[in-house]
Amino acid sequence: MSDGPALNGQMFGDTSGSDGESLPCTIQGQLVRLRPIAKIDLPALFAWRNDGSWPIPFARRSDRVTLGGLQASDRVLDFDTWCQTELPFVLQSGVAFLSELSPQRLPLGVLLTHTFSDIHGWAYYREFFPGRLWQSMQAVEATALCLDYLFSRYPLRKLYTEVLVCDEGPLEKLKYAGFQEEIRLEEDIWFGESFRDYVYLGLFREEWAERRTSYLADLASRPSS
Amino acid sequence: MLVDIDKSHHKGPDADALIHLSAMQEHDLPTLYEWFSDADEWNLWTNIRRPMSIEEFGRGITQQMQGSSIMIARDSASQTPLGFLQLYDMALRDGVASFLIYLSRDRRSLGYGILATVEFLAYAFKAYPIRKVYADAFEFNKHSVALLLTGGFREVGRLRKHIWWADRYWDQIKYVLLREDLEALHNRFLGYWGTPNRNMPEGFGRREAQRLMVALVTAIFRNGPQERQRLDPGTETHTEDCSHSRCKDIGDFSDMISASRESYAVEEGYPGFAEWTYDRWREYLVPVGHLLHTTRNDDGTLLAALACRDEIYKGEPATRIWSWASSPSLSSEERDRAEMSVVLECAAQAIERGRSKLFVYVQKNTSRADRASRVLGDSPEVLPFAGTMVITSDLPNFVKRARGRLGIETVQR
Repeated sequence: MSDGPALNGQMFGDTSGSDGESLPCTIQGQLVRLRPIAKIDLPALFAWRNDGSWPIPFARRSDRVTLGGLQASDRVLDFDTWCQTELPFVLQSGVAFLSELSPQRLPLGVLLTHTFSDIHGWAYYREFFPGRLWQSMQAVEATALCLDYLFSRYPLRKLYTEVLVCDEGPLEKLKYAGFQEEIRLEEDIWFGESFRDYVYLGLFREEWAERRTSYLADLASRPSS
Repeated sequence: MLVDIDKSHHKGPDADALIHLSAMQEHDLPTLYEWFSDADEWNLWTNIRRPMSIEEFGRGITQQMQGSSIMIARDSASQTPLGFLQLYDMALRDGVASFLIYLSRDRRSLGYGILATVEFLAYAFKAYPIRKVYADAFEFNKHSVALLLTGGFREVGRLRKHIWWADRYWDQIKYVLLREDLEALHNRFLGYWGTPNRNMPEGFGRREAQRLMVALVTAIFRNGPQERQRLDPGTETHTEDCSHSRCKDIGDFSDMISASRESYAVEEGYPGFAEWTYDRWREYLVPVGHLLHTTRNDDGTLLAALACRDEIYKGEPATRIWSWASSPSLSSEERDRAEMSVVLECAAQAIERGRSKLFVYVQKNTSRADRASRVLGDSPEVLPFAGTMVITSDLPNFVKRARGRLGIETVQR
């Protein structure tokens, strides 16, 4: 139902062998920085995507993110195929950031947008932090940096995200940032040994503006971990 | 590539139906393009605003046919396309898919949309291992919202202020229909016609079942005057001067209902009944193939009547009460007694035909529902759509109970 991507997401900067220092569009925070994905990041992204656990970095259902006719990203792909099929779609359909610890420059997770709708003023947002990194202060800051960037850089009214309800931690993290549950599809997606609930969450620009101050204050008052 | 099939060869088992579904053909494309390129309408089904050429539209449809299931609902008599139905976003591993319907303007609010929806989804649930179907409607699209709710869909949430149209942003509402909901809806409105060679009343066919469904749906969900053409007439005709006893019974039954149709509409919870003409009542009350039972007083005045047909209910041979009424001039107690008497006759004969259950669909919170519960004596089961419930009764137990209440001696054989 999209009227097409409004943005051409950046592919790669000239980063072969670089530390990413010279990349454009780098957003520096207190604990983390966001930067465009570079070629050197691909093995880490591929490992996150293929580790067999849920969630994977990219949206799963074909009806919500069409991967050029491919079944969504629960397919097993080899690295080369992934680089030629799923990855270009992800990178070209919106904005994709790698978040990394500052100053160590260790990769922390990815933050993505896709399916921009210029007419209706929304886009889809997705973030992924492997393991339990979602509960780190760095991940909390990364979300704020990304939301600030998206709402200031583009005339977006709203962001959507979709999460499996059993993925409780990341779901709570998104709600903590102000995302509100709008639709719950009960027993929608098979995972593990049963069908699990799937939710759509939405965050309006003004909701983030209202939440942002206390969100950042909470962040500043906690020790980083 | 779309295949153009000569219409003259397109006479299948559905040819006698009121409407039927079939694959999209090359010659349908101009009609579909006309529907989907109507600038007054495209806001109803898509958030795309860019006009397309017919060539581009055709390529898009052909592409969609590769990854979704598309059917055209047609008027069986003329083969004219009435609507477009699509099952898309089919995630078969998860057992879910999404549903879309477009109905041509001149067929809306006449019951055809819900008929096509039930037909299409019955096919979809049979053809694919899906557990549920989702559908989306924009908040301002009142026709779609009404159709989905009539079709048993339940709202599961809405994307707030999701789509721009005219002067503001509107919600996009998401609905779901479970497999069991569709089965209940199908049984409610179309009965047992889906397996036409088993237990079908003689002369009762798919067309008649569809005609009754359309009539019933428009009666239940009626909320304004009928603006367009009326529905197909029934296949069984009667003349007012007919001397056949069945014709006289049908005439008296129609007289009784027609004379008090406004109160009958309230009693039944079907607002559209209040607007029906006498002829329409005659076509509706005792459809072809249905059995008619009456109770009269000593001077021959009709006290109560019912029409029934044999069906299967939850795997058991049953008889279904199709129409059922008593004279509004009687007291409440007299009406209970007259209706119990006519059901008793129906039940006794149903047992002789090998039926073990009796059931009737009613609207909840109506005096019809109260009376049916009192007379039949069993707890109703509420269905997941349209405020409908089904009341069942075990036939031998009912006969025993009714004879006791009516003071009729049971003859030991």
